[in-house]
Amino acid sequence: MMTLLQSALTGWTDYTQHGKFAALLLLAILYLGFVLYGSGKEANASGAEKARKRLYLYGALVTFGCICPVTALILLKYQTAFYSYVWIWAAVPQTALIAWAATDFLCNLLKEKSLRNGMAALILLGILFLGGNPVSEWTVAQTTQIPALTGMPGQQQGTPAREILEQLSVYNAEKGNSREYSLWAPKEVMEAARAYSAEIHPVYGRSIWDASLGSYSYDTYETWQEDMYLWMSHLETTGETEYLRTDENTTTEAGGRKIDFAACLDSAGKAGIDYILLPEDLSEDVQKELQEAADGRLRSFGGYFLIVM
Amino acid sequence: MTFRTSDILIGGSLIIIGLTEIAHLAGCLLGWSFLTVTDLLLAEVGIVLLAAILLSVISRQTRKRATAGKNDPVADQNSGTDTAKEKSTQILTGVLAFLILLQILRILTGNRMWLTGDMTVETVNTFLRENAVYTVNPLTGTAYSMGMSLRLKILCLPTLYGAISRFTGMAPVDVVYRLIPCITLLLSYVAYGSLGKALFPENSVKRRTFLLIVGILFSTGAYMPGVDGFDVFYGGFRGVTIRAAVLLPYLLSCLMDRKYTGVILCILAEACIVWTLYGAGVCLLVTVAWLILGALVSQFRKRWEKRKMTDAHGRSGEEATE
Repeated sequence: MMTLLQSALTGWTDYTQHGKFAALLLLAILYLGFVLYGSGKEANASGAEKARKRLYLYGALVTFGCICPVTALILLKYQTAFYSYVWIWAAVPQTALIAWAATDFLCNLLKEKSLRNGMAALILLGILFLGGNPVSEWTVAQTTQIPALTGMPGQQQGTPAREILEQLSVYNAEKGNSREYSLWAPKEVMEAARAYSAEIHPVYGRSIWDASLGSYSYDTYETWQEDMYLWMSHLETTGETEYLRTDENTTTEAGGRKIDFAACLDSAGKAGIDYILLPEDLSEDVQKELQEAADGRLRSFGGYFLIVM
Repeated sequence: MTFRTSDILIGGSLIIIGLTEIAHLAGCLLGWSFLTVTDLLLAEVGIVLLAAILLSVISRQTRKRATAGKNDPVADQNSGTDTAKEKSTQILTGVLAFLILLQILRILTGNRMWLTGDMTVETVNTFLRENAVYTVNPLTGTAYSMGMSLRLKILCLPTLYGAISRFTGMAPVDVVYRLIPCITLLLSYVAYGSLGKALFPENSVKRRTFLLIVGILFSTGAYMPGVDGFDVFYGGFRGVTIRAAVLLPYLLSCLMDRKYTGVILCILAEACIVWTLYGAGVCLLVTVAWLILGALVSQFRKRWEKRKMTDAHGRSGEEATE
């Protein structure tokens, strides 16, 4: 409940951090209010005019409903408090109201053709262009490179993850195995595996790091799967072969449970994993250590190290 | 009741979503194979299409008979159309078409998507591979041990995309990340066009300008999830995007024009494509708010007029006594 309250209180401030469409919306509401109610012709409104006024009233009320923490809390509750604050804005016809106000303003302005009006129209369009912030690093961070993207026409290659999966599938087929195989690999390959082919069975899916995917299944991951994910992430980010897991209630001298490659290999063997891919950009000492743990089965394969189990 | 092209296009899409839901439920609840589910969908669409063609032919003939011998009032109105206005409309339409083309190119050549909390491609791949609906976890390929939420299980978009992939031969990744976002973009212009028609019924220049500004807002506003532009360009295949960019503008236009069939279709379509949890969805919320607002406004207007009348009577009474 406290999280929900916090979300309702700080939601508006967070919402206006990254782009200024919310400001444009408020401006549009103000402008349309003057246009629709400023003339004072209430009584003889036509059917279309009445509908326009109702749309305006609806838009203005629901906007203030989203800004005001008390009503925002009610709206958050309506969407069962699962979705974040930003989704209550789905009920606000934001694009429609801004476009309506801008259209009305532009068309009224350009009725009389003069340099001043032309400049004002250009300034308005400039504000519209600058209102968003589609090229910021934050925006890019909200998106992911499409996993297993096929090469576009005229473009020969797809993503590196797709290429290694393609090579591995060909290798697997050449070995005369069944077309299905299980895999443990770095994050970008695991992310692309099921998007590339449903014949690949990764030891864990994207839901292990994307918590919002957890709602698609009541199943949870077992400790050995989490260990393998944590170890691989640690290897990718630090290049170290030992990971100290501290999020469990284990009290050891080291302050956590140590996970090493040998333990992961053991889990992989028990789980019946067919192939293991490891990143190739590792120091020579680490490569040697991994080679020893894998009994010399580590070999270079398409920009990764491959272990055939 | 008159149907516009926008009603046919969006209404048709919503009906296809409904038909997909029926087929999807057959796969989900009755355990039908995915191939049978897609065949059922094809048959449903075929039957509905035939029925629609038949109905339109019959209604056209009835209308022809009814209007035979009468002058066409629309043609009479159009004969006096301002040519300057027509020219402006044509120029704006050209600019709009160019903008839409650029946006389609952006979708086709983009290599980034908003994938947080989404597993559509994995689900479509799994349906096609397993020839079954939700028998294994799409993210790992292992059988479910605890299962999944029924509310999520009944969302039908993966079945629709899987059927398109099967019938067109396109890879699921291309259907989901390329084809569907383009269709969503085009349908969103149709939906906003319909809203523009409700906002500016007599002014085609204003309607085109409205669409052009919507297009600019799409392009410049692609900065965060929940903003239409971002949703369309980076997640055009998601149910929430279809709701925001197609269903809601169309719903508002239907509410403004009092087309309640369209309203009902939007509410039902949202339930089939978006995880509304226990909440009943945004379309229903908007509709209820709209109707309550209408009732309140008319009550307020009645009281205001009554008060005005009483004031006027009082004043005339005072004048008479004077």
